[in-house]
Amino acid sequence: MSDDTANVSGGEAATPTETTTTPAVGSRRIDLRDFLARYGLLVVFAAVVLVFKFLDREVFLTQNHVQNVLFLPSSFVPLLVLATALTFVLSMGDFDLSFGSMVGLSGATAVALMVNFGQPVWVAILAALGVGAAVGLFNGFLISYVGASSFVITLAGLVGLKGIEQLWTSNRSITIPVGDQPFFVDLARNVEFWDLRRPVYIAFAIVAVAWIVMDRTEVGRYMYAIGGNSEAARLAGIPVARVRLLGFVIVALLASLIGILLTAGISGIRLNLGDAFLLDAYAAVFLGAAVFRPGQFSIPGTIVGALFLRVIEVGLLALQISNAWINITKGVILIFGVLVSQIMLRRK
Amino acid sequence: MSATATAPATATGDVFLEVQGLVKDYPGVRAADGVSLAIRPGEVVGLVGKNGAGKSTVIKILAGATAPDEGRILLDGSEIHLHNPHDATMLGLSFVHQELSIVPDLSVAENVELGLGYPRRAGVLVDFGKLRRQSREVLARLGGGVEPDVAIRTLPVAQQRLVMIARALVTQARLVVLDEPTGSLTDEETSHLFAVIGDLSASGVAVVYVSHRLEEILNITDRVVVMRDGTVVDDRPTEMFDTRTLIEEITGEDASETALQRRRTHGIGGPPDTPIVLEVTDVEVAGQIHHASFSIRTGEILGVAGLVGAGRTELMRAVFGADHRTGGVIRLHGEQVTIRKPSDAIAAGMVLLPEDRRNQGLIRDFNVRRNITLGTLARFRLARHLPMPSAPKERDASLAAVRDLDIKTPSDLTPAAWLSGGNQQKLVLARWLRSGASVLIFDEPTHGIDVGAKEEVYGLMEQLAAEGKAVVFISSEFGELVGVCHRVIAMREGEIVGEAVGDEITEARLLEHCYGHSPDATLAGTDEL
Repeated sequence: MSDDTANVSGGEAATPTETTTTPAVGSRRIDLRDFLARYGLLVVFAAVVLVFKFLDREVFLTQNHVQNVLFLPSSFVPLLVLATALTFVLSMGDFDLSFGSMVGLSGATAVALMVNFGQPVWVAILAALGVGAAVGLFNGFLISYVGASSFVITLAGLVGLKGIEQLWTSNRSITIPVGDQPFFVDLARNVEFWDLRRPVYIAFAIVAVAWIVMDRTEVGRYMYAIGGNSEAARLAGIPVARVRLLGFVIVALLASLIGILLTAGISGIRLNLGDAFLLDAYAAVFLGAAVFRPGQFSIPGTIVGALFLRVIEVGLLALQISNAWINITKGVILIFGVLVSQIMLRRK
Repeated sequence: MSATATAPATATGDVFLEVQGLVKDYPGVRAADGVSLAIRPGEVVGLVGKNGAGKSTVIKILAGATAPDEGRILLDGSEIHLHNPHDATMLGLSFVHQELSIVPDLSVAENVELGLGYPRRAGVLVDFGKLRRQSREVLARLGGGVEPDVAIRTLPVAQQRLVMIARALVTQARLVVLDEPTGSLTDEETSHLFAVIGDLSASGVAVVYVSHRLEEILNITDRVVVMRDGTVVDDRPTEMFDTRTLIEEITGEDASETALQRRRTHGIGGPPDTPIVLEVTDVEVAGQIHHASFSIRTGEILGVAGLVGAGRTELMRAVFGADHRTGGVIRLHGEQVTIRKPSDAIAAGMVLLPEDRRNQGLIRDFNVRRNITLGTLARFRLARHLPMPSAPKERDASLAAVRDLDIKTPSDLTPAAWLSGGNQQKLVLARWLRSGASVLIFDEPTHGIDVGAKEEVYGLMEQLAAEGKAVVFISSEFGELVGVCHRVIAMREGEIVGEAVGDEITEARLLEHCYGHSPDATLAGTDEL
């Protein structure tokens, strides 16, 4: 088998790619199905955008609208970043339910240290991130080394972390006095460039790095392999336990970061800060699994999912549709998006 | 061909099941190209052909698992449409697939009657007593001592297969299709199965028997249907075939070799006089392996023989670090190595090609390229310290491997799940081919792959040995150990009980070791032709 390796690049015309003589059995219809399975959701997304634009020509997707409504740091940034983090664990077949509570705990840690204990801002931020890292390691150790169910362990985290937050804040909101901690509060300020707030750029940077990690690095490949068949991955020499643990650390760390950014934005800690993002983040990731490579979680898919959810929300809000109908619409879109892609795949 | 216990039933009845002109296209491949078959009550039909010849496709169509693009199926003269496996079951067509479809956490009894409607009590509650009795009854017909109450996941694969066969019996099917049913059964279990097939046939049930084990086909079938390239190329009474003619029909070329002939023509002798690569001393696995010691030299092919449950796979998995080892020392190139997990073994230069390639070998959703590069991904980096794979480097390596191993795939971006069994096996091998590993452990590499692909696998093992690799070859088919190995160790009940070197390696000798006494000469068909 080694006599003609010199031919590798020059001999591509003779590679097995060429040896199947059977002509492609595909037809136009199969191509259309494939297209719809991959990009059907994008088409729907575009249609929804056009409809909103048509109904609300004055405001929707104007520069001001994008800057201040669509990319509202307190809504869009947590959704995008948490969904991105979640993509890592879901791609390996694990769950994390604890990140909503982790957001609150991290914010509470930072604010309580600064306001109640007079600690400097860098201690507060490092402590908040440190708590996140510890929670991620705790979850990941129990799940991937001890073998506990990720659903149960992180459900315990969902409840338990909230308890710790209540303990630290005595179950009350804490406000940073005006003028105090300028560095911390400035984290959420505007930057000159395109007039977007700092957290939005941080979110974009995180998503870009996550995309590269999942799609272009060895660790990302290992994550997909573990999601595909973890036993085969282990026998192929992949450090499965370590990579799974890494997933939980990523989620908890990014949740901590979101906790810091959110509390900076509102100059204090409010109860149940992160709860709202848990289900929306899942919705965004699953919606994202219905585009590009249907059935597979991916960062680009998650971006589309998060944007889609956000567009529906702000679009309907602008039309003064009630919150109840916004939630119902999100649910319908999620079912619809996932179904269309699966039906198209099955027909293939 | 020795006459066996099975009484070939009178195949004189009228055809009750007929398929006409089945055509099935998969992307890039026409899997069935006008297949026609007729089945009469009580006949035992052997269905043979290489992997990819179209056997599985025809079976899947009959089982209602996939729909044909063209052609029709007639039952008792009228056309039927099978929309799903349940339709087929209800019409009396029963299937025992090669890859078992069990629910691991359910009990044996619950698996036997799964989906067939459990016996009820008061309309809604499952009558577990009755379920247990019914299962016990059919299991008793098969022998093998399977208890209905244990969770099926606790059973060895051989017994799980018996449970699936029991399931077919429960449905009182008119046609039972057995796809490679003896793949991991012991000879004793196999002869039980043959007796059951005889019973079925005598009671008017037709049996389609799909196997790569040609002696079995010749021994127990009334008629043999040979498929090649998606079509039926031969369909004659079994008496008109012998092993040689059957192999010729299957491969489409004159290529018949018995194990011993192969050994002679390939000039295979004893192990080479080279340094020892791997030395394993007193390996223990709680409850499974006791004081197992062996060694292997550079360029040697070491066979591991044993009946199912003898501990061959368990020993090698423990050496490789896939399962927990409770004792023992492993030396590679004379130095003691600590192996706690597969990555330790791989780093030390030892790789394992697992028995169950579908569930342990491949990432089925990954394409061919990604499966090939998975184990050695760090070699394809864009830059040395940048852990990002380079697509061109991966492509070149995977295309080279596809070509070297002659893997049949439309492209290296095809999902691994689409490949045939033999090509999937080569894909797992391709992963390690250039890994620089000095010890390669093949666990049942030819299980469920066709004659031609088997010979290719033997050739690849020999080539690896010639390149100075040490090859460990676990197999249930003693014939192939005879045909390939320099030395064979035999295992029984978790211990290494014997060794045969060079010309001592014969099926009779290996059987003797594995049974612990002189084997019943009629038991295993030790005669070569």
